[in-house]
Amino acid sequence: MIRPSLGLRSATLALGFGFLYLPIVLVIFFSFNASRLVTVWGGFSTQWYRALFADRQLVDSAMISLKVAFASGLVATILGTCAAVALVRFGRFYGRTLFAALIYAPLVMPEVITGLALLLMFVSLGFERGLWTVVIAHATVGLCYVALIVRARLIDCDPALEEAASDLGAPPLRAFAAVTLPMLLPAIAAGFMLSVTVSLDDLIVASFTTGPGATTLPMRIYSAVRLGVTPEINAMSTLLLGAVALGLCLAGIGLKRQRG
Amino acid sequence: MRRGQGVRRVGRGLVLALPFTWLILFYLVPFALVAKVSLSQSVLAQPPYRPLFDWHDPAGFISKLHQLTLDAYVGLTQDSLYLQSYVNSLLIAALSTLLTLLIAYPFALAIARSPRRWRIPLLLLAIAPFWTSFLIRVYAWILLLKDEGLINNALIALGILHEPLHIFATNTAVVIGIVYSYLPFMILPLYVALDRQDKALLEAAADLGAPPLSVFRRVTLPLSLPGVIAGCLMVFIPAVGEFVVPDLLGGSETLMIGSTLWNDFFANRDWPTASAAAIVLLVLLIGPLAVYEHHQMQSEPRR
Amino acid sequence: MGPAEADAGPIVRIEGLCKSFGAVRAVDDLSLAIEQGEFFALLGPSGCGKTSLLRMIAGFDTPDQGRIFIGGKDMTEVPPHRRPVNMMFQSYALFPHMTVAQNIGFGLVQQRMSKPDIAVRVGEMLRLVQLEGLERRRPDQLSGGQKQRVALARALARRPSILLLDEPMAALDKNLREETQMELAALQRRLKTTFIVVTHDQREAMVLSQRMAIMRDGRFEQIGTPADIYERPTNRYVAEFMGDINLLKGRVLGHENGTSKIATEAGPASVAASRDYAAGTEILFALRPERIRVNPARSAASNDPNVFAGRISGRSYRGETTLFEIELASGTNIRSLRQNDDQRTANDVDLGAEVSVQFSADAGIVLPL
Repeated sequence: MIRPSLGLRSATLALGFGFLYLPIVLVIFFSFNASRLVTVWGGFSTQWYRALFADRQLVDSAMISLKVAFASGLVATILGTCAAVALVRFGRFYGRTLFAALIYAPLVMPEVITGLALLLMFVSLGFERGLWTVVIAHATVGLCYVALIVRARLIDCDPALEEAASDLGAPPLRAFAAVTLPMLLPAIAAGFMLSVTVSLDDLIVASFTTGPGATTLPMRIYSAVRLGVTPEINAMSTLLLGAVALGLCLAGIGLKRQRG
Repeated sequence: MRRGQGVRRVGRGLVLALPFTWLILFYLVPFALVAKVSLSQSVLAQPPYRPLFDWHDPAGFISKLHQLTLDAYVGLTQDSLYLQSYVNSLLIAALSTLLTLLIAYPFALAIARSPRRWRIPLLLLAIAPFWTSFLIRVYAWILLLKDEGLINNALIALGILHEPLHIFATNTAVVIGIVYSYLPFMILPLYVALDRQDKALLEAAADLGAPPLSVFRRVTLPLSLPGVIAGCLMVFIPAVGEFVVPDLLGGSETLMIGSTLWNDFFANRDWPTASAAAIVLLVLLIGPLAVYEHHQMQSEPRR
Repeated sequence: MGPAEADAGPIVRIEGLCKSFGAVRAVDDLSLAIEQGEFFALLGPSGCGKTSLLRMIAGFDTPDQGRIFIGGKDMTEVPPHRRPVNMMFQSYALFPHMTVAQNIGFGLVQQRMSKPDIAVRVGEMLRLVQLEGLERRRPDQLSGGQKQRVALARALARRPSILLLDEPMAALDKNLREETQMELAALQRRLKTTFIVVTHDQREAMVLSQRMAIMRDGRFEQIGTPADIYERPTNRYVAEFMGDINLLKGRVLGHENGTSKIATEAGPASVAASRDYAAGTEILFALRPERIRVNPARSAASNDPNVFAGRISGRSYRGETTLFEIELASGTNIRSLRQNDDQRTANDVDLGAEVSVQFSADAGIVLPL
């Protein structure tokens, strides 16, 4: 009675989801198009998938992207969790405002600025640009995503539980590890996945901070797209979509398992 | 007991110091460097600017100060390309933010008012496109918007149009691209704000005589304002500096600062100018950034 | 604009109301009539359906079956914003983005009252709940008691025929609660508005209401005045729900001259006539502790027909009263409540003391088993 009618809600949701998913559906659709031309349907074909796997450069950059994503995700998760704990549990401390500001900023800062700044830092430090500079750059941004997700969950964790544990004799680290950490695990995992996703998807920061021999997948795709639309890209995207969908399903099942 | 406390303090210190030092080193200091480079002279060298501070000759820093120059900034003000880029970026970002809000609000409201069981699945479904490649999704709009693209082909085939709509490579295409890409960033804070609303408040409003539209206007909307602000900031600020969308969907008339900066950096190898452009962009965004940070601080739990 | 003019009929009438949430039957075939100007209480434990019933009268939930008549009109399908009913919420539900004055005036704005008129009415309401001067405050600047009064003022601002109150005292602490109960009852008498209150606190229900309904599992167990329900419960559940009570199993022996003789766990007793129960019926004899007198065993014989010997097995001093636990000669335990109103202060009856337990013929009531 108080909420908008089912009809109105359904119509809005249908329109919204239609808009959101139309381009995605199209990409999947045309990845199986035998014709090179996007606008003409030439019959069903998996040739672009075959071409994809034959493309050495594409496969190489995919591997590089994966390495960067996992390495930076790991660093981001550790640092981000520490940051979240500091934000939520350490009360007021000297420099807290600056600390919080630094954590929230990367979420909105235009990537061209972030990329440029990091590159100049690497140059001034004399770091040779390559895979590792990209890892550092992605970890810096990923840190903020992880911190926000873990913080949201940590706020709901009652510190009284840790106090009870220490009352029963557990030193602070053990109290945290035994009581709070298990509750945080889903948030930490979610933060990790988000950091990996953001890293896999990043074009601009990577372009600024990378070096020879470390061309990431988005960079490869971008240069391919600029040259003209190639159907392998459709195939590549469909595969990525499939991987993401699979990941989401697994996450969903994992969550359900935890609940019940 | 004392040893335990000592260990505890060191432990706490470490937990804070790790991320804090990292962020200062790899986020705060870099911005200072951008400022510094923007004040340097451009040279044909590697790196293409005259360095002020040399690790091997720290004292020389003082003597080199006179090499600081505002050339890059002056160059910016004289270049109509940059001026246009800034203005265009702000306008396009503002328009895109407005449109994103208008589309995302009813959508987020519909999800937040759905039966409780459905909310998280629906939300995840709405956010899921974010998990797919940003580049690919923008690229899909190329397929849709080109003169020979799918939308035009469909409209012509249906007889609604005789000539294709020239959307591709215009500001309109860029706006569509930005709205589409940033939609999840608006949906999420809106959903959180709307879902959090106490059902009793809506019932009280109805009980006091407000028909559904009035309930929305007088209670739901005002209470969702913090979410609206958060969402708008999370779209507007990055959209101003957006690069990929104008590069792929835009044309020669759609100048945005993101691509102008990129070109100056990679194509022209003019690092001081690019840095100066970045600093100016940052200054332009100081207002919204401050509001954003203030907004986030307000949501911090008080100890 | 004031409470509905006295129609011939009750102001709220429900017929055969049923409501289920999933597999749970919250409200099971309820019928009830509430008269205009009554202060009516719905009393019961959590989950008994009282809040569901209230919400259906307000219009927030629709019944699966049955009809609701308000002021003689069938309002079952009418949405809440069109019913002459206003509700005071348990959580108060004050609009956090509005001042006290705006909260109270909310419903008046919906009625398209003019600004000056609204200001006048808001002032009136604030005086009514004794919160003058707080117009510009925001809900987060108010104490719990103040929030409650604002919620009340807001619900009364439109001068509804019926005011619904959902656990109005739940969030207040004990001292404030009792004071506020008296005020609320006085307010209702003054306004002559029909009040329907939902509560789980039987003392509160008795203090506030003129008539009440005890609910369990979606049904009415008994409807009546507080005195009716307290002194003449119709079954075991109601007897036990309303305060402390001794329940003794027994059997009816016979009736003669306006009294009935029953055999109980304590011994034979002579009670007020209970003709409904034929001789030989197994029954439950219910006795309130305050109707049982305890005296030292060797004191003078009393006038009560029912006297039993026993020993004090427990004693708790409660300030204004003392509760005794007595083990009777028959082996049964019984409780007696004594007012500490004279110098004896229960020192005459110590733990372990031999005592004589007495009660009059009309002290208790016979209930079905």
